[in-house]
Amino acid sequence: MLMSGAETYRVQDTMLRILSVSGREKIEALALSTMLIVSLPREEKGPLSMARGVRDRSVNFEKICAVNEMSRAFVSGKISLEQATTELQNIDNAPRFTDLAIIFAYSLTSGGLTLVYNGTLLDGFIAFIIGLILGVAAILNTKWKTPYFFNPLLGGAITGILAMFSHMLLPQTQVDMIIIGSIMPLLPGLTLTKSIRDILEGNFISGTSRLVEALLVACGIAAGVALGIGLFPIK
Amino acid sequence: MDSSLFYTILFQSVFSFIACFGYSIIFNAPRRELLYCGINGFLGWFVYAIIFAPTEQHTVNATLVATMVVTAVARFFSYHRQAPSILYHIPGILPLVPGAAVYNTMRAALMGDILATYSYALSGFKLAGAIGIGSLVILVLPYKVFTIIPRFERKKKA
Repeated sequence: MLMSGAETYRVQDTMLRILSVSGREKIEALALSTMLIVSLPREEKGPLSMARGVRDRSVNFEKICAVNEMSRAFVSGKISLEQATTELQNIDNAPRFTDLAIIFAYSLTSGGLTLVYNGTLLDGFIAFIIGLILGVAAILNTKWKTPYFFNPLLGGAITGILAMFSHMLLPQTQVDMIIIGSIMPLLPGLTLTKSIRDILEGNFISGTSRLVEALLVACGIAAGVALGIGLFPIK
Repeated sequence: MDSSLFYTILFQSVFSFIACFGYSIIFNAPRRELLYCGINGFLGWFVYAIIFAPTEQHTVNATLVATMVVTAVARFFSYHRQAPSILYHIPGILPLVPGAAVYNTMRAALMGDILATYSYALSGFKLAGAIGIGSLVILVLPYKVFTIIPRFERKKKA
């Protein structure tokens, strides 16, 4: 669940809820942005505890919703432990959107937002194409497991180079509009929102670390675009 | 307000709907919720543009109010559709995220204009802060506020 990009407090809440079924007292569940710890006291042999690190992260809201629903059903006693376990496995293997759909989603976001920010139809069309390439790049990055910071950097560079190139070919396009619209799907709006929510719930460590992450990604995009633009002479 | 301006805003909001629809696909939102994510994106830009367009100078105010509206609607959907509210919140604030500020800051830095760099960076932080505070104001409200309208009982899956 942490891997799918849920807020820290939601993870902690869910773990506590599931553990409360066991009926024991002094249960502890702790979640940080990259790890979780569970501890359960036993009379016979001392407390039982478990720690798990979270290595690769991707965002998957479907999983979050499904686990949320499942945990509630489990606690209210609608499903048994065995059912819950198989359900969890089902959720883990649930179908995602196909790669093609995700690529199109990237281009829809880029193209749509360029038009939202006062771009002309031609700008929107170019941003749509840049979005297609960004989508392909993002999927390849997840497949090849490149470092986390690499995707915004590469995306920014692609956007910068292509926008300048299209401006050279078609001088009536507005570079600003194309770039601003195209980098939107890369921007850390999700991370920013999550960090605000975590800070609000009192998880200051996760909240501030996410804030730094958001800042880092924004800088990465800016550096990438600068790289792309820098290759062309500024008018 | 001028009617042609209104149509421009409406046109932009429709594209905001499309963009937010796409954005929630990237995050693999459940299929049945996609439409609601898009609606929130539509609302976010619509409110922002309605406040911003007449004077063209209150970006921070417009962002603040639009974020508050989007957050409230997200929590409302969250109660009525029984899904985490962050699912609707993210696409809603997508058009409000200060991408232009990031770009302009970088551009000014590249041109060697230090003064412009700082002023764009500061405006970016102001907008991000407006999004933060706007969400915060609504998020601290108790859950009960959003349960005034009773929810239709959803059909249980077999």
